[in-house]
Amino acid sequence: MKRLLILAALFVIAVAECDAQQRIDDLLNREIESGTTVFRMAVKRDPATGEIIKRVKELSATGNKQLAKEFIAAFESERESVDGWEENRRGSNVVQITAVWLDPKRIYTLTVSGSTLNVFAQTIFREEKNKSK
Amino acid sequence: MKNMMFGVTVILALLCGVTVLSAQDANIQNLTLHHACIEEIHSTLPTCITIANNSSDAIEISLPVNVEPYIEIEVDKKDNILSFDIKEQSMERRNIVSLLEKNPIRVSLSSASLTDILNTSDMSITFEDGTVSKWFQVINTGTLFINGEALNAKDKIEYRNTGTFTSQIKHYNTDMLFLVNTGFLYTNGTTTAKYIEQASTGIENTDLEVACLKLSIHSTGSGVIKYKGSADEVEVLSTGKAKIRTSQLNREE
Repeated sequence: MKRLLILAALFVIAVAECDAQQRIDDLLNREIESGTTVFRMAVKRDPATGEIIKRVKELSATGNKQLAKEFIAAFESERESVDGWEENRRGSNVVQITAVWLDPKRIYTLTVSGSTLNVFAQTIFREEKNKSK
Repeated sequence: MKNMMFGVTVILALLCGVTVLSAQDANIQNLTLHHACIEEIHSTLPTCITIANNSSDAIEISLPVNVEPYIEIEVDKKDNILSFDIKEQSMERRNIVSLLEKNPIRVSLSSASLTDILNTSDMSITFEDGTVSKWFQVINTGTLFINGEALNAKDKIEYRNTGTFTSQIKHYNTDMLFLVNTGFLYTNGTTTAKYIEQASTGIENTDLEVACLKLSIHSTGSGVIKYKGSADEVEVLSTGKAKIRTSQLNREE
């Protein structure tokens, strides 16, 4: 019985790890595909192999306070799983949250200022080697 | 008895008349023009074009005999334009178009120097050989259907559509692919274009597999715009009516 409980606990932890940022990513993907937004994505590849080593997604929207609330809720729901968290609030109109996960390294930033929303999601799959100085 | 004979004669005469008319409808006039480097094709009439897999300077044209006197087929040798239009207004335009809708003008030519196709009527183009000029542009305000295995234009392929445009080219081999649409545009296939720009205020049905450096989508229209494959940089500006599917891009991790 103990073994079963331990296995169940390990499973729950594994699922929780897998789901880190999932809610934010789902929301990002939903808005990219159907929202009234401006979206940019860029990837950096290893020149030798073509493998993606870094991905950046940026989404901007104006005049959609409901969407801003959904993103704030999504960020807050992930707070348990983050490795680093920084939050700045000025009144109820300005919110800035930076969430960091390690392995792979993910830096997600949410900025809500009045009716303007900006979400910046950066994923670094592998640190660049031999970076030119 | 006389009346009966008269009736039979009339029926036979009518039958013969119908047969003669049918034969006339099927009568096709064949023309061969010669010009080595057609750069543009302009048509205001229903036309079926085959871009043939040869390097001949011959332009093979066939069209129904009964409309031939009313149609102007011109090769502008200075500007290298092949054009199809109505010559005289003695027969109403819609009658000619109606006849040509059943039996369109058929054209076969080689494509190596082709830069522009302008269609304001019904047109279908089959690329047996899709190697065209470095810059290739299709402007459509009517109904256009394009198909073929590949379209090869070294620098740029550009579609500008305000009508109904279906492009079933399997592969677009070029550096830049521009899709500008205010009508209905269907595009699918694969492309190796480094830069892709899609501007839509109409209805889109796009399904493209890409491997590009930059993809820009500006949409105030509707429909579905789907890209998969890889794109180092993606920019989407949307008013949200179109379903823009880019989540399949850069899936490898």
